[in-house]
Amino acid sequence: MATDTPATPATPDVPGRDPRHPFGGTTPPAPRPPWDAPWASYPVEQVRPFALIGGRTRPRHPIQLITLLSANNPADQAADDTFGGAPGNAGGGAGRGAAGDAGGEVAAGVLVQGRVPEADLVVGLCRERPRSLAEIAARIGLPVQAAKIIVSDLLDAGALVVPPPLPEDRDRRQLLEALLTGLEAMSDVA
Amino acid sequence: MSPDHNPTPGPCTPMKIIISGGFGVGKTTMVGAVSEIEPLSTEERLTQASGGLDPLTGIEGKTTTTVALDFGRRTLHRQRIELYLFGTPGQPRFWFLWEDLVTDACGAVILIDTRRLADSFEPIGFFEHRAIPFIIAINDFADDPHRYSPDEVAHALHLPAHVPVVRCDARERHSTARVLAALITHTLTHQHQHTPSPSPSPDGVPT
Repeated sequence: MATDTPATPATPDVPGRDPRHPFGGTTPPAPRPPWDAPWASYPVEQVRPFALIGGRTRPRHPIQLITLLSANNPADQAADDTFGGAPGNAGGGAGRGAAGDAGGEVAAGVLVQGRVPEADLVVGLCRERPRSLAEIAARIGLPVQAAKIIVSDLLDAGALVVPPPLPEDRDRRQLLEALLTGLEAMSDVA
Repeated sequence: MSPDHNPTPGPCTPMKIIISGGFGVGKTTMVGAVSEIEPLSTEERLTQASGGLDPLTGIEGKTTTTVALDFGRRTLHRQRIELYLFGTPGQPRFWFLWEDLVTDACGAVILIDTRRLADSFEPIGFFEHRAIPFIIAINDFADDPHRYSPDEVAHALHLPAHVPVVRCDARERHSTARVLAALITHTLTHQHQHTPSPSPSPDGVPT
């Protein structure tokens, strides 16, 4: 359990999976396999979300819809490509890195509930740029509350960080006025 | 998708606006009209389970329903603000799914289709009760034979006199931006009028 070899391919290889529209959206839902097909061959989106997070409902970190999350030290991790390869696991780690999903290594083996492909996706997304929880949830195709649990695990594991709040010298009213200025500029453009 | 003028991605402060309204009224469209990313959602097909709850009267052309959050983002580089837009179904009773949805929101736009005014009763009551500033935006549907004036709509909805009612085309970016600007103007005049802002200090010098 602790050092499960990443023998299975990362999420992008799951057939029929489109990270942008995992639950449908503009993509039609994948056809259901025949009734006698093994459960494991069902499309990913038919797996109940709370199976992925071990039935937990309460994150350990206070994360809100617009809480921004970043991958921890992206430079270090990109350089140390086999970081997640625990002793005796380097081969698998390198293979996954070559597949272009280096984010997976960070989460490998450190999540309490076992690594889920969604965790790799989340780290990869947050490496590109800071992402809000809402965006993460939508992009990995999970309910917000389920995404919160995965993000919380990744925070515990040190794979993600919440960037410290900006030094904001504007009060609420000044922020609203700035927002209004920006919106008016947007509505004026011919 | 529109790269903004300023290429330097400076740190931005997140702000939040809620777009609410009945089923099929154009919330997703409105979010998409100003979002710089493809609006994200977990839209699912209307199933039989919701048959009695999401009536399709008047909008038989619509076959899917948004059962989850719609989400868009717009960075205002010049203002150092990252605006988040959340489209939510018109039934606040489901909003517990996103417990912090309305926390610190700048306000809400309740988008309405004049053929189905009753869809807006629930969100209006919700925002009124919570003292969250909101405005009504009439989404003008081309195939709607009846055009009602904002005054008529305000009367029909028994709105308090100070709640603005505007018309819009939710598909159109400038129109949507005008709606959002009207909301923020409303928020500034009605949420903050009784709380005198602290004496203005010179820029960049926190008191």
